[in-house]
Amino acid sequence: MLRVLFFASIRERLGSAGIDVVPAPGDTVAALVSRLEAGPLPGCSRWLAAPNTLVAVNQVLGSPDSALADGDEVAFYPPVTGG
Amino acid sequence: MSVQRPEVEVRSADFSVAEEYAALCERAPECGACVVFTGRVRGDGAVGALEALELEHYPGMTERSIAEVLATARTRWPVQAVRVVHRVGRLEVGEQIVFVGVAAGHRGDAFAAAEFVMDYLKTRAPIWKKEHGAAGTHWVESRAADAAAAARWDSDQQETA
Repeated sequence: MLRVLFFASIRERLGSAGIDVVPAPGDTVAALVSRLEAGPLPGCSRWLAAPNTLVAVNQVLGSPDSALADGDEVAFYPPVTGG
Repeated sequence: MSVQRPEVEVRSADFSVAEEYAALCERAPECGACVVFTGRVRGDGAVGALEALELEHYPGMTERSIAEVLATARTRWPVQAVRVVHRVGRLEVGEQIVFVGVAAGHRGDAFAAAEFVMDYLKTRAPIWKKEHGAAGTHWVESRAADAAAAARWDSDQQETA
């Protein structure tokens, strides 16, 4: 399974802190977003595919092209504001 | 002898600057300079008078990303000891948010490394602030000034390359 996490304003918009998703062969972040849009989270691509939304795969900053494999943790979040 | 503490801590509990400073000097007994910085909750926000800030983070990645910032700082300055404590959760106006301490041989390195750590942390660490005020709540937006401050350190690197 892919462990998909949402943070901050994205979490609020989607009404979900996270969801487990069955991986697909040749999966990428962009493909995952399409599957979430077509499946459990319609309308989510507005936030997940937004230009300034960040994505981390296994806690390392990635991109829509990042490859995904079974067991990966994928997090979507807005620009950070810590410090 | 103080208990060995991690270089990066992300937690809700407050910190004591005096205690952190003492621990830093103990880890770098021959440092000639020790710079400490604290970030605090201001009273003003986008929703007018602020009541509190709520800080959300990504457990695991937050610590990791700050540790990477410290590792990068070490490649650029001869830092002898460094420590970052970043609080999360609900913080009232006037409370401490973040501590950055850098011990080095000389003040130029200590000041520069501390500023670098803050500039990079603010643009890289997965932490998000939500303002709570009388008028409602508002997610703080990232600032161009912060991105520019971080980028400045990158262009400095290119100039010296």
